Amino acid sequence: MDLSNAVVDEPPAILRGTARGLELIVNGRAPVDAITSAIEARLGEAPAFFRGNDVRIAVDDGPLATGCLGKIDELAARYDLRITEVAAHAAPKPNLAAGSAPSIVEDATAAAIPEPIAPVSAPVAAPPAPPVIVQEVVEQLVGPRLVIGPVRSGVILDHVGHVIVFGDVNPGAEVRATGNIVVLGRLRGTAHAGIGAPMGFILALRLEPQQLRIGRQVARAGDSDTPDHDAEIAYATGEQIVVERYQGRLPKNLAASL
Amino acid sequence: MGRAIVITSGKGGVGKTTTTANLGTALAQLGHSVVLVDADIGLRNLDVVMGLENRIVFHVVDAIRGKCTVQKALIKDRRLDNLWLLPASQTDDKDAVTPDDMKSLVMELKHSYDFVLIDCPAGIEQGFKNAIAGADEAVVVATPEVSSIRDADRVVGLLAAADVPARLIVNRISPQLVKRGDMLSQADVIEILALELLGGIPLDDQVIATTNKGVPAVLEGKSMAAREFVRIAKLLAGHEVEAKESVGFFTRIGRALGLSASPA
Repeated sequence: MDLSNAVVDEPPAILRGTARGLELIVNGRAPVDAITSAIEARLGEAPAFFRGNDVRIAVDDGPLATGCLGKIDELAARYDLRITEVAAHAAPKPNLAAGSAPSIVEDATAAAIPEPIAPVSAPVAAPPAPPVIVQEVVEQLVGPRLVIGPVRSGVILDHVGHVIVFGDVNPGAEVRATGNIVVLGRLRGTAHAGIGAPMGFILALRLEPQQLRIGRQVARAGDSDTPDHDAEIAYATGEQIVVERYQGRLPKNLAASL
Repeated sequence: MGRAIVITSGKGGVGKTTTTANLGTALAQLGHSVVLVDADIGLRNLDVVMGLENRIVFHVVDAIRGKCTVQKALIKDRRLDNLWLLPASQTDDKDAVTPDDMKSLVMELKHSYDFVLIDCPAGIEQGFKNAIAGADEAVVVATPEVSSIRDADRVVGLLAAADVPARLIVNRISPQLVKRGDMLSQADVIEILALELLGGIPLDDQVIATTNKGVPAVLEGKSMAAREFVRIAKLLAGHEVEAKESVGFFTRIGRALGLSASPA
């Protein structure tokens, strides 16, 4: 996307309170620094008011430029905000919206009609027709993070996107990602995939975790210690986290849902 | 210019002080000039293990505050001419010293001694930060227990973040327990920590006995543990080390697994 030529008539970013917490609407066509400075200006007005809140990010006219989500993540960390969900309103890409219907977040409509609590500093852009939240768009925003292991005890890796670890994740370490997690080594710590997303998977050459978390679900290691020497994959199916041997491809029901 | 090596572990009671005393003594026996720095300010005990307790007049905090020169605070060992101790203070706490203080102190010592061995306090707080501040490299001591390994892992991460390369000593290995499968083996420990192994010290009653007498086990010479300390000291100093016994075997396994001081 040629940012210099983009006609930006809408504000680059709007932060507002809704009944479900803070919502940050980002205009995907705006330049990255315009977005970040708009957010920073808004947060700077009342840092104490926003501190410690959960925030959902909605991208209008996405996808965002590379690195933009990382910048937003940094800002959120600085002002002590937790990003719980990143969603893209994929209006300009009808093919994605049509083809990926299964990944619609169930409360997508609720997100679209927010109730302003805090004063809104700029006129809110009319929401594009029926908003569809598409997983694929989110995944395109930021590349995977490659981590050279071992990830040692006490380290918490946080990434917006996928994470690939070359080496072990030791007990006491935690890897958190909004996307999927692949550990080319032993996963002995805690992994949380699909943060703020409806799905995600965790794949490890040796899956011996303390705890697995996918989206909002948690599973802890069983008490039996029968070491399995095969690569395993963990993913969420509706009510629970399923772990099975990784047989060179994603399990069918998982692949279908991605 | 000498080398500053910090002996650390994270967890307490795994044998940092005993290791510091024995490695220092062994290095001195090999002909190197060595100074041992007790960085466990407020809980000094390296002097006790070295049997030099009653000779302390000044200590490390005095030297840092300029109450005396560093040379004045050093205590010469009564058995070896090239071994010195800089004792900790008994009354101050860890905040009495800053990492910058330690850095310049260790730098000064490195000018006059071949080896500066720093005995690190347990934990990862101020005392740890002080102890590693001036170190060129680290020796991480771990016992084959899950709690010790967990803490060592954390410490190795912190050392990597501070750009201090670390190597591993596995302490208190009980061959009988390992054989029965009731204890983690040396190989298990290096598998988790992914560090280059310097050596493994067998559990040895004599170490406890000599430590309580204020004589490092190395000076008594005969025990398995003492021989292993000497071997590790040679390795540290870059002498030729004969690969022997089970220890050499495990070292080779460690190397075969491609284990080296890698950043976290």
